[in-house]
Amino acid sequence: MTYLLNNFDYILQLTFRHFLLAIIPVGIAFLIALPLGWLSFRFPRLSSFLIPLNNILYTVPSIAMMIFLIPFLGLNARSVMAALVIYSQIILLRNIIAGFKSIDPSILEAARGMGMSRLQIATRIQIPIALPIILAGVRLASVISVAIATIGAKFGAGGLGVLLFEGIAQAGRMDKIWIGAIFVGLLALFFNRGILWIEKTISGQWMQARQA
Amino acid sequence: MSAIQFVNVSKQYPGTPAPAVDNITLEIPEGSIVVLLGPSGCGKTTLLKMVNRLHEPTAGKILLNGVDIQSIPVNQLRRNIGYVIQQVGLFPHLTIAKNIAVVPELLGWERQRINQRVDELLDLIHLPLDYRNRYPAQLSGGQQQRVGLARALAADPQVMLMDEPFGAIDAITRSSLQDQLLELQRRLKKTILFVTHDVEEALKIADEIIVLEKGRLVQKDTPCNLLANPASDFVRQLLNSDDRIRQLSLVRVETVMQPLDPTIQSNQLPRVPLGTDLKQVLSIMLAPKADVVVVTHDEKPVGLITFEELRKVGCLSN
Repeated sequence: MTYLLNNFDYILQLTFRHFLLAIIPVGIAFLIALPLGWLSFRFPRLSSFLIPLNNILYTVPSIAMMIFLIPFLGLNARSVMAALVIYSQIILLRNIIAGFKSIDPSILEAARGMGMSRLQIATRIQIPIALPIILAGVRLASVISVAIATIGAKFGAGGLGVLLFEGIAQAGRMDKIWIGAIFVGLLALFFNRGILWIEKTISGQWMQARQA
Repeated sequence: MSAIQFVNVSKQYPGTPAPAVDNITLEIPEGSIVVLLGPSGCGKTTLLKMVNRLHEPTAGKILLNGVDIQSIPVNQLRRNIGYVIQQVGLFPHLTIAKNIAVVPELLGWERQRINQRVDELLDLIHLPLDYRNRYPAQLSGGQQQRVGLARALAADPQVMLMDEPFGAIDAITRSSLQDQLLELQRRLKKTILFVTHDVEEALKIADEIIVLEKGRLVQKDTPCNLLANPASDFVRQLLNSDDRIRQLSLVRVETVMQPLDPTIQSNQLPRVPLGTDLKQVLSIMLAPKADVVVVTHDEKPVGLITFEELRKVGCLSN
């Protein structure tokens, strides 16, 4: 507790750094996964190639992935973030495809028959209807990203992992481990709640109508 | 003038031994309901979906108001054709008003004009205006299909394609939707190409029926003539043409009623209004003491029908 009070600014700094370390890769991954997901839905052959590839990538442990990337990107935040982009992208792609597949084909036929272009169907019909499932993926990816980003401290990326590794290295510094762990937990909780709120706000009305 | 013309149209799906649609030449007259009738796999839906190019023919061409549809940009073509499907396909995340407004929005109408049109259409399909802000999931199946119809009518297309629109709806609601469609058609005079495998439905709503078998056109005729002169055993069996009660259901009282006979005391007799079909009259006559039925117009007797008239009619005598 005294550690928290004496180093509050420092801890907030680490938390903010951790926040960026976790969220930027999810953002980048989203920009990759959305078009990939759309293409995979349209061309099933692409998805039968991408999904197994993703599954293999997903089995690679995060530490191994970061170590593998260091020779290419250096011993810094870039390697960590690149690894997080890969992990987030796997989760997002899966959910985006699942979201598109959840749409009744007759809805797409109606849209086509009414004269919507492919882009109009994607932006006005497919993405909005799939959005609850897509956002659930964003939420999951963010929480996992917050967790994995902790390891990033080992590779010079900073963030709350710094506290944890210091706590382990210095005998009797359980306080650092506690503070680090609690703040990582709070950050994950913040993402979870925040995105849940966005999900509800965006698709609340018609989802409620569907359940009623 | 014919609104839609099929000229030697064929469609063969890759990897299938026989064409789904086999060399069909056909004219759909403007302002009429033409029903494509046949068992599943006869090619009726394929034929329909070639009109808005959801399927492309492998041979032949299709003209819309005399213009080859291949020469029209595909989305422009589709925005000018009303399209109603069995599964309705309303957009679940949009309100009823937004659903109806889709095509007018694609066509770039002004907001005010769209709002006005939505109100008009809700009125036309007998839905209260406060349904504007509901979501499709809050409506019954029958109401959803009425919205589907309104959505297809939104930009006032001259041609409507309807692919088994009432197929997934319970029998009572279906019958009432058919009545509403006929009532709408009397006012709107659209050219409607309507696919169904339901013979009763075809007989009830069609100006003309086109019977398809294995991708070929086997007969094209009015409901009555189809029952009276089936072109083949296939048509005879499909329509159950020998069923005289079915034939009676296609004839209305005004076409056979006799002048009033002053010697008959008409106030004790059962009465039916003009427009009643003879199947209903027969059903009344089966009750005791109902050998004669009085036809009324605005509650006043205008004619009589006896069992003899029923025996003489039917499409067979046409």
